[in-house]
Amino acid sequence: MPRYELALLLKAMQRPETVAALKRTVEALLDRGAIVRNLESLGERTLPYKISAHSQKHRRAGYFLVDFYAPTTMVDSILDHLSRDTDVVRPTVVKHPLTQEVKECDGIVPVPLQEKLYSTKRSKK
Amino acid sequence: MQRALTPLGARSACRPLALLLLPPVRGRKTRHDPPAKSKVGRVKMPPAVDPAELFVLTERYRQYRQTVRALRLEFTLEVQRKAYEARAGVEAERKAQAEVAEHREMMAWNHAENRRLQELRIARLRQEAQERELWQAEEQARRTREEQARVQQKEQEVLLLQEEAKKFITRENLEARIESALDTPKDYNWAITRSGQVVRS
Repeated sequence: MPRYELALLLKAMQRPETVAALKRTVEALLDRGAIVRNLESLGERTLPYKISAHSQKHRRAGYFLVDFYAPTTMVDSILDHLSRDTDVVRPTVVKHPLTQEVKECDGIVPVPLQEKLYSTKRSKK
Repeated sequence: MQRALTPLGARSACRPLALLLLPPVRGRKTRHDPPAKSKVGRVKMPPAVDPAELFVLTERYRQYRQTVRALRLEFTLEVQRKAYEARAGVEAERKAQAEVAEHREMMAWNHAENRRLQELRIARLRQEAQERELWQAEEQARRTREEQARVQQKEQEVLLLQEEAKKFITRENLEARIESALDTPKDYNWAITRSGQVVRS
């Protein structure tokens, strides 16, 4: 099963409500056959921009990361489920970054700008 | 007509000479025209023959032709003899025998060469078979080693995963984990230099 990461933005709420929302989310994952590895909190932070979700505008939100193993067919359904949750500002499921292979950085590759000076497209006479 | 044709002009002294030199030529009349009235009783007589001269001539001709015929027959006989000797003479037989002997010799040499090359080939094939066997054995050993290494690695991974599985979130420790996560917010907003120093700002 591939490893996914759910970057979850939860509405800025009181602690018990946040706990309940997280519990709800993780139980939804477990119900669909995922294996949750770890749950991290990045704290309640100001959003970089105002996000409107479920007819509400949010300036602050709680950032949470859930990494889990899931079947590929489940991703769609969990995204659908989370989009309906009013406490969730923005759900995002990505492949876990630690599973991506580490590529050697080539540095700044020099681009020959002379080739880009003139367009190579042949104009119609 | 002949008067007009003499190249030396209409001179009376030259006319007999011109008549002797030039054969009769049809000038004005074709062969289908009737002869003239002046030629009605003409009987053409051949030139007179000198018997002594004739005799001498015939004799000379006979001798000449005899000589030439003899020479020709000599030459033809020589040519035929040469052909016969080339076909069935002593030299030709010797040459044929020499060729047969040479052919036999060369066939024998060919057989010997073939045998020698066959032995070399057998040795070479045996060598190649041995080398192939060795190489295959090495390849087999290498493959088994790699297989074992792979299996080892997989076992390691499985053990690691088993260790990590003890730390996974289940329905039982869900609430505890949520509480602990909310209590310890993590911060990924840092960078690292090449020397390994962490930079937070």
